Amino acid sequence: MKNQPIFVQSKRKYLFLADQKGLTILNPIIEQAIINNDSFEVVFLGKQKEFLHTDIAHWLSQQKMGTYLYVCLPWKELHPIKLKIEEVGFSEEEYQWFGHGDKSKNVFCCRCHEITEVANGEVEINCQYCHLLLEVSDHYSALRHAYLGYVAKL
Amino acid sequence: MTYIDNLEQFPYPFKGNMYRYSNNSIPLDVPKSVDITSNYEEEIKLKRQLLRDHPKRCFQSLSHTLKAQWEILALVMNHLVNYYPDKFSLTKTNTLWTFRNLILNETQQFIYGDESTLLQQPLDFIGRHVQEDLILMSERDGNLYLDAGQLCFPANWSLAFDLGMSFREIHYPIPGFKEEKLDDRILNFLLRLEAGNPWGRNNWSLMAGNRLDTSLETFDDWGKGRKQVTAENAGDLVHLRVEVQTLFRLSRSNGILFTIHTHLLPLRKLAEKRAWLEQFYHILQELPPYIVDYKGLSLFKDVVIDYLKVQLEKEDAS
Repeated sequence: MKNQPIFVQSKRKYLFLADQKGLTILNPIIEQAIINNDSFEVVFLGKQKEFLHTDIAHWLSQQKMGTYLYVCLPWKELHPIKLKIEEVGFSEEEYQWFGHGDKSKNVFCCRCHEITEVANGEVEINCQYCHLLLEVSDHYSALRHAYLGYVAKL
Repeated sequence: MTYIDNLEQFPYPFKGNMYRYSNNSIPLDVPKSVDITSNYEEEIKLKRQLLRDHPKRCFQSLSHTLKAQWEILALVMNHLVNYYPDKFSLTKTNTLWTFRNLILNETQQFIYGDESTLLQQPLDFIGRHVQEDLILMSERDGNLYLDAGQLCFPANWSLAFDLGMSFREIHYPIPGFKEEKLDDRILNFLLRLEAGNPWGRNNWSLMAGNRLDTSLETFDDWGKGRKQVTAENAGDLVHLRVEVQTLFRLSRSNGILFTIHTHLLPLRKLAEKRAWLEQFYHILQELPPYIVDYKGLSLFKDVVIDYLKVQLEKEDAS
């Protein structure tokens, strides 16, 4: 992930996937595509998200090689979309992603393996399933998309 | 849990009076991945009980690992029948294999490569016949990934959390590991492992208690023992925990089989051997705080040092 979206030149087509705020953040890139007379599509994600992932997977799977994707969504919604994008077959070289809004993190309970979502910066939390007091570590699992929570007190 | 009563059989891990993290691997004299000790039946019973009661804690695998799992099953079975022919047998009729565990009086027939002919995944099946924990590291893109494992006796780590992690990611919490580039050095060593030339190493820690199943998942229970160590009970309560680890390159899948056989020895028994007592006393005294902390010794290290010192003085006086 980059801090700011960067326009990648000479792509066959550009795709933009964002909510209202995300579109504002991606706007300079969209404008660049318009100036260059590049082919592009914008998919706006509103509040109706029931069929979102199926639709997005279908849309992405129809794209040809050389397509470049920009995604900008609230942090909470970003991870499942990224999984879908990678599942469809996009490599890390074919898209840029950005989050906005409140950033939270997932904590993996060392005792019960359940995930508790907490605000960034929390040091100690209670597992919301087994209620064990956990110390939030910086040991991250991409597979679990979570940081390890250790036993905080013996 | 019982411990090895014969001190000569205990894999005492130290050389010299100082300990630091290092790549202390050595080529195996005998290329065998498993060892059968006098605790076999007791430990297999415990393993199977843990697997039954806590399957997700004790076995994890990613779906692409089945071929490598079969390869591990074949390697371990071959070692069992070659090194312990009076305890295990294996007959092969085309793809139909018949494996017999004569210690437990169990027979399993299966078709090699066909998961439907086993009750468990291959790694999970063969792990139920050996005292070792078995870990599969897959190699891809110049890196190693923990893609499957049967882990019943971990030293305070979680297989469920570490599944799918690269070698560097797994060892990220170890202080100094990255800073001293030990992660790069050991990874490069592992990537150069060759089939047919297995290596081994010993790792150690101190346990307040005699449990083999010291998983991260149950730390809130067994970790309390660290607060209960006193000068009076240290000899019986505190155990030197040694993991005998082996590393085998798998010739077909190019993965690595990492085996861990855990042994426990109470300090009272360790103190019977003067050379060990003296050496371990010096090692603990000199151990830097970051290792003391990571190995979980902070709460009882000083009590243990005092205990060892008293034992040394007793020996000197007698």
